[in-house]
Amino acid sequence: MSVVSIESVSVSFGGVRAVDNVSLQVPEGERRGLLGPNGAGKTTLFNVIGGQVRASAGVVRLFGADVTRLLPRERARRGLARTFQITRLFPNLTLYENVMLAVQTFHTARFAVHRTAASYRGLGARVDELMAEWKLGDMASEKVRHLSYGDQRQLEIVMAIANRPRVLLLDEPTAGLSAAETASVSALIAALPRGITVLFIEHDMDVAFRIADRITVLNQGRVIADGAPDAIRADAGIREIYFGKMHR
Amino acid sequence: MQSTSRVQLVQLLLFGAALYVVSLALPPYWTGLLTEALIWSLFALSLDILLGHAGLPSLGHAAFYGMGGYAAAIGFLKAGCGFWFSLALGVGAAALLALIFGLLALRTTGVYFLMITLALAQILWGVAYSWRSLTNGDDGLRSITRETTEFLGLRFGDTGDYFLFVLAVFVLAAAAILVLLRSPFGQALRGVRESTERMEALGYNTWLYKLLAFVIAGALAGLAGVLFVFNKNYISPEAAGIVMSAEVMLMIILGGAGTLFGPVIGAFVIVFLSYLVAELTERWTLILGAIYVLVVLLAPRGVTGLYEDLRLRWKRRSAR
Amino acid sequence: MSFWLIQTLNGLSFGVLLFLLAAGLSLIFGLMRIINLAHGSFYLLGAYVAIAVAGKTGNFWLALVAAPLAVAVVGALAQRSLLNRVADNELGQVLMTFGLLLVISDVSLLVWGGAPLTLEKPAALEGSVQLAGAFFPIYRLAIMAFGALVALALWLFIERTRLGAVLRAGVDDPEMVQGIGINLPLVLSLVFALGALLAGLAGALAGPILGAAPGADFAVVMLAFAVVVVGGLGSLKGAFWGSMFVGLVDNFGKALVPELSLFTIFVPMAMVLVIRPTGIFGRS
Repeated sequence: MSVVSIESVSVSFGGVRAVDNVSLQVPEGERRGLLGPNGAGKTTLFNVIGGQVRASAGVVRLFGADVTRLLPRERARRGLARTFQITRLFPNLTLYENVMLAVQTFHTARFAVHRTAASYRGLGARVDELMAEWKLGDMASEKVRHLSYGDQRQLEIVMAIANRPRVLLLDEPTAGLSAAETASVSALIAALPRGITVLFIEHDMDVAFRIADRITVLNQGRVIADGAPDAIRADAGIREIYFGKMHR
Repeated sequence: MQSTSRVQLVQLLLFGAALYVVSLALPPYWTGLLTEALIWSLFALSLDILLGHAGLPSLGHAAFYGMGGYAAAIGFLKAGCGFWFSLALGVGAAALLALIFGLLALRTTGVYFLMITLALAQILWGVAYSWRSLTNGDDGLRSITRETTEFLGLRFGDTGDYFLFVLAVFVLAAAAILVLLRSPFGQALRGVRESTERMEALGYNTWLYKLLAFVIAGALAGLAGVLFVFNKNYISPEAAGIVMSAEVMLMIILGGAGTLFGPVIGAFVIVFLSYLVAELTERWTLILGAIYVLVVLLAPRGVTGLYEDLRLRWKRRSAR
Repeated sequence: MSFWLIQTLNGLSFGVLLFLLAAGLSLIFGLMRIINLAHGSFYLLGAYVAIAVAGKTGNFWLALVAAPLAVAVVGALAQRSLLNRVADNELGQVLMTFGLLLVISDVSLLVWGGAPLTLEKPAALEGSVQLAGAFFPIYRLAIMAFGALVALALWLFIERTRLGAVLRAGVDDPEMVQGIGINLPLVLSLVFALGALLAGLAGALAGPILGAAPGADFAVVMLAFAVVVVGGLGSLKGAFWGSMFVGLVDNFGKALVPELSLFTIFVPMAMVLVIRPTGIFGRS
């Protein structure tokens, strides 16, 4: 059974068709890369899966259930997590507080008014664990708006995986990162447990082909190719679409 | 995080103790002023939960202050309730009103939210003004006296004793607010302020958090309103008016939103300044208006913000 | 029969004054996202200045021209020197306008004192006409006619001129307008001045019937506010229909149930807030 199923989904904004009759099936545990030139509709598709945007037509399923009309938070409860192309963190809170907010989302503590979050052993431990794994520990008390762009992008991913999601959407995880940061982030993504299904949008071909089990290519809102990385890499038509756009 | 909140609790207790000590040496006129400043401080802290933490700019918070005062006054005068029952009535009525207003106002955000909270408070003001049989209209309700109330050896009729009671209530309430704001719930409020979209994507029901914050803030404002009505023995529709809502907001901005002591500093400054200026000139309204303009222009993050800036500059200078 | 006619005409003439206020308030909000609490001050200043000019020169028409212009200047000055400096702080701007309300209110008290003043009607508009068996003041009819003209002129300006197109674009998307390279600061000052002018005009026109007194600024801004809540912020159409509606409801309310006078405005307000919080013609 597909974990994520997109069935004939279209999204129109006024007269513009950002996503045009796209269908996609992602089985459990797969790492699916979503490629395509700018404006191909990749982020819009992510927004439809995430719930930030309502599909004009078609059905979105998570684990077989129809989630097309569900709010983003209801999808999060079903195990969906995502990062955003433009970082959406909590800029005036510290890094620790950011991660803690992610970690406490489904914990009974989230409505507690009488103790601090850190006083719940499970929560503090999980935050420490995540910060150690992603080497963010020494910045714990920095306000996020003072962090470097690279650190913020990494924090985006940490926030998304904090609650051990079953489906993870990563929107350009390595965009704007240095070579070293890109290497460490793609290694961490590759090391994610196979129980998590990962869809990611990437412009960095090396990262995409390294991580992906399968690649879907979009152009102008439509799926134009879908297959194993080697096949896609060898496809001359795809290369033409990217002609002049391949970077790094 | 836990250490900062402990430090702040200690600071709060020290503040309370200092006020107590100071009050022993003051004549009743000044104790009365302190009482007023503390009531405003509580009112300001309650709004800061919304403004400084949840990021909800409510320009109608006086509605709950007024509702608390009126419910207590009407209970006291017309239903023969004693002090404590009137207090409970006031807080309860304010909380209920906050629930209703919250359900209506939280369907909007930003400037629209600002406008709707203002409009809703105006409706309450209008009701208080028009419903003469219940509220006496703009003549207001009088003789809400605390002469007969006693508690733990304090005779509320005495200005000094009532001050001690208000001080105790303030310290308890401020401590509760402090604990609330450091809790996971309080953190979630700040998350909602910083990025509602991110909170929703994580899985939070941000609307519910905002509504709960609104009701809690409203109840606390109602408490302040009850303390006020028993302090002045009088209430009029102006207690729910735009001037009150704007002034409590000014106190927060002046002192520094989102901090524990900011709203308290702002309240004390405005209250004492108003009495000082009233001694010297009739033009307090003019000066207050100028303060509004100057604070926004020169110190939008308030006294606390200026202090933080100075501290940063000092740190950088000594680091060189 | 004559009762209903007179009350309707009363309500409509009051509605015209409300429209002048609400239109300015709506325009200012639409373009600048400012809730201008000082709008009532512009009304009151318009009334006071008109009374002063008419008192000095004996000429009502001169006062009617001079007062709105004077208020427009005050508005433009306030916008350029104060509001513009904190353009990115929405809440701050609202608090600033409240500060202006307080300052102007106290200065007016200082200059003109606490006693209510009235403006003398011009001789040409004195007296009443007979309508359906009752008498109705010519002056109020003149206000209605004049108000209709102003409404038409505003509509033409917004819908048919280039500047009006800029304003409409700015209401829809303020950032885009800046990107096109239009001198946005100038446009903002003009809009604020226009709003102030309309409010001052309302004050001057209301001089003979409502007069000028301390506290009118607060009362008026709340009424204008009720209109834009009902009609919708940022919409001229909303300001028009909202004003007519509030004018009629307020007037009939006062005539039929005087004890609940304020109530009659707040009930429609409450209903709109429950059903459609952004107002009938507002954007959701």
